[in-house]
Amino acid sequence: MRPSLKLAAVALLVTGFYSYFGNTIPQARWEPPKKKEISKGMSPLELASAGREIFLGRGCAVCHSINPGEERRGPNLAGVGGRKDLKYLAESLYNPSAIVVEGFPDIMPPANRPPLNLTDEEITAVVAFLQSLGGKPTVKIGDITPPVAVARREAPQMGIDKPEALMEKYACFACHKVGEKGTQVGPPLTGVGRKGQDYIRESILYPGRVVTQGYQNIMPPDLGQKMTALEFETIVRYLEGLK
Amino acid sequence: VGPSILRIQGFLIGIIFILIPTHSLAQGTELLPYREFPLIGSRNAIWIAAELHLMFAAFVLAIPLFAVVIEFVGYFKKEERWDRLAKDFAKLLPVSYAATALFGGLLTFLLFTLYPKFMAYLSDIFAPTMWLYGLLFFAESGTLYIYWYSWDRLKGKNKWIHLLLAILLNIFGTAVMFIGNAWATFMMSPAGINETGKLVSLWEAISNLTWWPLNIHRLIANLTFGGFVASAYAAYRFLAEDDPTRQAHYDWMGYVGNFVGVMTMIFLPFAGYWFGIEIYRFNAQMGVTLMGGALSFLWVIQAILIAAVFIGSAYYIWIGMGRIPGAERYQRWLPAFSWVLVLSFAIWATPHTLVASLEEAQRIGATYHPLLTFLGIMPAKIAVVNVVIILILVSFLLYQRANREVVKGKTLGFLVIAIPVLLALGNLAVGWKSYFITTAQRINLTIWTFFIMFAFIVVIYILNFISLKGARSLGEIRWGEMPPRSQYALIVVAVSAVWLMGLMGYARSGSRLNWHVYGIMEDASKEAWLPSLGEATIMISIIVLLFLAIMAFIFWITGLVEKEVG
Repeated sequence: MRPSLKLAAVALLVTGFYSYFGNTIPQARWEPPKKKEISKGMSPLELASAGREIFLGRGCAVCHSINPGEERRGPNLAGVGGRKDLKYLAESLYNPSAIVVEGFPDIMPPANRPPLNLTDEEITAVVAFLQSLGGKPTVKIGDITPPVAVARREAPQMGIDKPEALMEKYACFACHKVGEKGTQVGPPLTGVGRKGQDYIRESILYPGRVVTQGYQNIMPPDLGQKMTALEFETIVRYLEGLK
Repeated sequence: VGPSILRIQGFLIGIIFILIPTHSLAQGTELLPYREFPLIGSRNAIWIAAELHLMFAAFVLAIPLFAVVIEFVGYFKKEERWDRLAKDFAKLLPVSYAATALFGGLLTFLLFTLYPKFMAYLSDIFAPTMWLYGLLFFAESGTLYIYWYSWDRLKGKNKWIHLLLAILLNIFGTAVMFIGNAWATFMMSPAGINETGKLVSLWEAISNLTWWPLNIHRLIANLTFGGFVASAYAAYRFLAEDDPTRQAHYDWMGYVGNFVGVMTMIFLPFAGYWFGIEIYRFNAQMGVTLMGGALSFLWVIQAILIAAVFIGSAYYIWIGMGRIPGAERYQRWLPAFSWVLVLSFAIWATPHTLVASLEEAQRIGATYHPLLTFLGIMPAKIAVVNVVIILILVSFLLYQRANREVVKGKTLGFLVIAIPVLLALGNLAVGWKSYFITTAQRINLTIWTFFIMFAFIVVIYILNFISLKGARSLGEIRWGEMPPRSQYALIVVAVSAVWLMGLMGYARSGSRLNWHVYGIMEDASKEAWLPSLGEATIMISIIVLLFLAIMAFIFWITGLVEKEVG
């Protein structure tokens, strides 16, 4: 046989083996999640049943087990309905970083944001299901008010065009002056943009590291942590523009 | 061949430039979200074109990288044979480059026609970088052809100009790749945009969390890929030649290609860890999807492939010792080496999560095997991967030392072998310790282990170099005296490396699940599902066979041109 034919035979055999092997191991075709139809009139029990489907079908169970004693990446949720109230359960879905169980990493994305992207009704159904684990589901559609800070992305956002409103929200003008606005307890911010983006970021995140001469470090050390990423970026860009 | 290829590339780039602003002109009219491609569907059409483009691109980016190093060696050693070897590698470039451009053009056409809305969004974000990409592509094309066609003219005192061209070619090629990587990684870990997906900062969109890890990962992986494919070319020529002198040359070329492939591949796991860390930093759920969710079994296949590459490569090195006088004293260790490799890969291939779906987990009642779960997690895997890397290094060290008898500096020679053994034991100890610390501490430990390993590898090679100074030669390497099975080993390694690249492409794209741009633009097409591993492996094999068939055609064409010139 000519070498080129032998080489072709080897290539066919090798690729064929890998495809064969790939077809012998467990197979699962991943399907995009389907939106669960949830009507306003559903009872808490019906909601819990719908919530169970969402919990198992949308990936929650990859990290959370509902079987007692079984450990996964996230906390075990067996009996959670008997231990935690409605407010806790809702917040842990809308804003999971606010209540991270000790010993577990802060890795859960908010349930109403991508990639999960659950609707408020779907989140209510999941809460009903969690209530049913060791307790009795009581929640109905409309009982949970989504927190403003983590409202869905379609909701109007405090966007890039309103940085001064953010400066007021975080009381920056209480100590810093921009032009004629604000008071001069801390260094004035007019011209701070010339110091560069890194300096501004560091000043907000770690105010103690860069204290301007002649001023005391009275800036709250956790200011950066209180902001959302978008708010933080908006303020950084605004200050960067003050040249 | 050259001028006609340039015309094709010019035509393709022109069309691409026309297509990009089409969207801007069409603003105000409704863009179709998707179009259907006949018979195989849109996604498969993109999959084939993208993967073939990436494979050829990897090859044409890698060859100049190591050809320039070989050319420099020849320049400084003033030995013609190195220059001839560099030219032998580089002669595959012109036709491969044309294939890269053709598939790049095809991919662009398909993307703009089948996914117009997605491409409109991507060009809204990245338009300036797309223009820059086109310009750099022109620069790369021009430099490549001047580099190739001026090889014989720029010799002697003008060689430095040729070397400069080689460096320029690498700079342009790398820059082109980095820009393409920015688009691909933006789809995985978007940044620089606000919550409605509008661009806030182009630089942040480019330098998103996974950009640098992918840049580095691809840079190394391209070298690995190029090295193995070039060694397959050498194997093909070796088997087809009757002339012993030419066989000796292709034997040497195969050895160098394999050396480049395997020596760069040992750094890939570290680049992979960094990539993984950044994926988890961006979105832990994406990391979980990759490692423990829908794609978890993929890593079993990956381990098999890497095992095939490493074991095949080591097998080739060990056979190669047969052509080295004095190597007999080391050959008795080889069976033990084989067992360590097989055992290490068995541990590496053990999955952590043994179920493929949540339904299956519910039926079984658990997701982990009580015993194998300890081998399925990263402490065990990192430890054995490092042991494999050390073993491959030792194989190369033995190969280099095989025909030398150290007269002075025997202690140094002892250290060259003792240090890797201690490193391997140290790695197993670190692996054991990693079970009892937190994930964050383990990641830190992994990073430090990498730096320590890297430092020791450098030290070992310096010690080896010093200890071999003045060593007595036991005879010359008998290049060309290799059994055919050694060449088939190189072919198996190359096919596995190409297949591995196809699999990793599926993993990276699959990690986005049903998102074009993760968390920003959802895939609303009817093909938003993720194919099962079985389906994916069939598609990967088809792509690999297509690539190999075109590559064989390139080898044949290159051979014809060579005969004409000869």
